Amino acid sequence: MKNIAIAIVLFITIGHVHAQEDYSQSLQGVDNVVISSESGVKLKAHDKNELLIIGNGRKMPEKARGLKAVYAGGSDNTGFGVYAQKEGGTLIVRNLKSTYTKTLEVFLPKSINIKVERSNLGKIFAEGFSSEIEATTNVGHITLRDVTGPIVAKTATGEINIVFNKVNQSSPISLVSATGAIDISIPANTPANLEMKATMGEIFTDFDIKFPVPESNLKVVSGKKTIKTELNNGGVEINLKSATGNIYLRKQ
Amino acid sequence: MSCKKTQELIIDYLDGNLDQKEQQIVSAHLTTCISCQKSLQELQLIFDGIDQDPEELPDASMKVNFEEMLQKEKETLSDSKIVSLQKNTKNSWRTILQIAATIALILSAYYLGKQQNNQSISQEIAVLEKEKVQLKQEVTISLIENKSASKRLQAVNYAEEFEKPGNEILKALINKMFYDDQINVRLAAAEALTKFSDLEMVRKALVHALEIEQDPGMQIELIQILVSIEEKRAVPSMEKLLQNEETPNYVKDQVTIGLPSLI
Repeated sequence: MKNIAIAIVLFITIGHVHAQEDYSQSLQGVDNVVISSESGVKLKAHDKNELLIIGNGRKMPEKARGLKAVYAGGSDNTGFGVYAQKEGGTLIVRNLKSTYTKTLEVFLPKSINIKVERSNLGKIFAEGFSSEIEATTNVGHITLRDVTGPIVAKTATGEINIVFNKVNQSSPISLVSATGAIDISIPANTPANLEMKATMGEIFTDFDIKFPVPESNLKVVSGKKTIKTELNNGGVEINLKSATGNIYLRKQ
Repeated sequence: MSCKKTQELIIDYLDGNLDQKEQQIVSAHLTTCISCQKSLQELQLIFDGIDQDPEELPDASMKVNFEEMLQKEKETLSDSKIVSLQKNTKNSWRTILQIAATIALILSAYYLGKQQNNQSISQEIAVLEKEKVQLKQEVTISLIENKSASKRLQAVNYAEEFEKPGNEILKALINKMFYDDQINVRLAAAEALTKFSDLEMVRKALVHALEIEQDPGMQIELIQILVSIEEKRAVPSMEKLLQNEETPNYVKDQVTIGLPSLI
């Protein structure tokens, strides 16, 4: 079985090294993808149930004819410096190239759950997904467009920018930033239980925030500055948390 | 005149109650009939015996007793009359009471039934409530290890809703605070644990968490929690953060704000 797998991997590798045609892999039975990349990642949704990497973006040096690229990160089975492998219901995509290379652009099914991990300096961009997205970066910005959530995103110094076309009510949304800003737009009629905390930053919104009547015996505790409110009579949890960055919550 | 007819008239003959004609006929027959003469003599004898028997008269004491008895009987009679009168009024009262009792019985039966029903319902609700809590615990425990970070957050939110979470829940939360690979989940777990910070197990975990924490975001959250629950044992690790050159300034700022209220 292992030999067959290796044979297939080799076949794919050989088949693609020079051709640099698009790489695609069927995602039958796969419901989530885990992506790790040092460089930036750009994820786009398409209607086919397959992983697709467009080939025309990559030019092999003329001198590399007859050779194949090797990477410290592991074996390249796509010919794009990317290791892609199905493991049960999970697709593992590992960008083998270093931080300084071009952003990796990948097409994925619209409804696949995405987790981008261990991204350090790279930016994460995703557009058009109606699935759960998890993204973590250190420095890179996290930008999501035309998504529904649930979203769980964390960055240390990057910014988080998200435009929701609708907010999935199934499970919580949590966005955390240490020093970067959090900027999100959600439809005005979104029902949500909103919790926002900017320890040293400020919070701006055009939503009507109703403040609960303060309890008379409430002790003033330093540093606890959480705004808790219901939007449109309450719904899914949306938790925005920033240490020093500002939070911007926009109506759409 | 036959003997039979004479026998019938013989008592009246003796008493002198017959008219003259009958008197003559009976005496004529008596002179001729020996058996009837004999009957007459016997009857004469009985009648004489009765006449001679002295009439017994009640003595005076008996009369007194009788009078007393009569009086008593009268009294009891008059009493009973009053009683019966009372009885009558009582009866009317009793009817009302009976009706009232009937209504009361029906009502009490109704309410008893209803109450029992309510009790059984409330018992059922209590059982369901208990089952719900158990189910929620199970769901929380299983969800908290879910592949999806959002689901794990949901589990943490569930855990926070428990009034008195079991040890299993608390351990799961503490575990999430220390080891979840998504900071968001760790933050949420730490926040959830704040609610249960009256438990020593939780306080210890929070103190320990700050000692070993590397992520600035988590550090800030933990500092804020430890300050809010006034946990003095966190002072050494806060001071260590202040002295450490690698600590980001915004974390140090939090320590500087919070530390004075602990010392």
